[in-house]
Amino acid sequence: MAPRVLTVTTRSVDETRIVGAALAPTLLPGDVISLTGDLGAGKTALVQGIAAASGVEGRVTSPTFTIVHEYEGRYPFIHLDVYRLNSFQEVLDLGFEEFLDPDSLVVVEWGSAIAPLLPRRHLEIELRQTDGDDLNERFLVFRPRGQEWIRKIQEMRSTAEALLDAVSVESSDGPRFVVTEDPFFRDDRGVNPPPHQEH
Amino acid sequence: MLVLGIETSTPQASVAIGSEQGVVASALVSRGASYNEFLLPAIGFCLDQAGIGYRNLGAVAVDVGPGLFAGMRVGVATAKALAQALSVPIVGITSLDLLAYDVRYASKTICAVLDARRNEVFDAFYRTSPGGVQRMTDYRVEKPGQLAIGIASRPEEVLMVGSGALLYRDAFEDLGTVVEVGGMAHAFPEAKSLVELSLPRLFREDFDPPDQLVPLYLRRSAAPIKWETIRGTKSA
Repeated sequence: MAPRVLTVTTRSVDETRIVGAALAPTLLPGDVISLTGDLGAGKTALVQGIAAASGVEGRVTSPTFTIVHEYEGRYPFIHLDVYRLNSFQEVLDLGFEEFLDPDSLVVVEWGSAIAPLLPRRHLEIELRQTDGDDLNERFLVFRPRGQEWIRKIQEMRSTAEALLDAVSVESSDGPRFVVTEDPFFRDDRGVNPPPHQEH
Repeated sequence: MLVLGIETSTPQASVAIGSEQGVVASALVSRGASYNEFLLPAIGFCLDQAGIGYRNLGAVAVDVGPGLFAGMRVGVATAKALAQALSVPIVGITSLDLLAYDVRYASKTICAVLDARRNEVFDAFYRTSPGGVQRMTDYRVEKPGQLAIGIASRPEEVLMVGSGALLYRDAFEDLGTVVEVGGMAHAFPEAKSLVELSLPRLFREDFDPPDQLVPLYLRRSAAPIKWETIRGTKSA
């Protein structure tokens, strides 16, 4: 059975940024976040929100081609993308294990691909375009790995609810925050569930 | 012969210049500036304090790890560049050998242990021998619990030194009285030991070919990332 997770629906890039900003106050040095989602799913937007609300000044861009970006916010902020790497050795050759320093916040795009290298306790967020007519609509699935992430997700949720309510006057297309069985659950072997079990 | 020792493979980085007559200058920092900010200024400081220049250096010795990934690379790359520019020989010595060498007067088996992060340690066992230590095992990366089992299976008393021994001392001291854990002074290898340990090799002309001197990476992973399954999970 799939574990229960929080899914947040955002309806614009800015809303995805707001969710990131709502997560930021819960983050502490040493925290690791893994993002998964197609090109255009909003991974960079989410990171921009986290970074801006973590005191990072200046522009946060996708590290897909540069692989690692380092910023200074309230804490050192490391943003990397392993999408272009082909082996675990290439990830180690970045000095990956030292990016996971207890002093830094680390966001890894496609971190689920290198799960054995991630700390046991981390937050995984999967972003997907929804099946709806609105092409800007996204599902953000928050998967806690470790107890403290359950609490942080709850804190993020209450902040995000307030912020999103403030910016979106007339968006009442159903609930934004839904706790369900993981809609995109796959077991550790990376096998997809049959389609009828999704959603 | 004046030897420049470069040790940046642990959270405590150090530089020393010395000869068979002793260390003439050294600099050390822990958890401060990053290695690339520390290393060259520290070398410059040591040269200035010793009242010499780069041209007076006769050899370069470098700690090749196992240790911190970025630090090892900064140290080895800098050492190789300096050796090449100055046309002097280079010798690489491992961090664990340095740690063990520092406690060579112990009359016990020595286990040098460095924190490898991710709840693992780098370790190797040594016996004392005239004038130094002799390594008895391969360099390993393993869980502290695995190392503890290895120690418990030994009949003799063991002196453990290094940051990994201190960090996981509870796991090792639980083994009973056969284990002694060295103090903070021996937590990390130091460049002055590097200079001292390099001298016999330099006198023997047992140099490392610069093109073959690389950091000692114990964690290797040939495993490919299974992108076909990961990307298969993307929405269509």
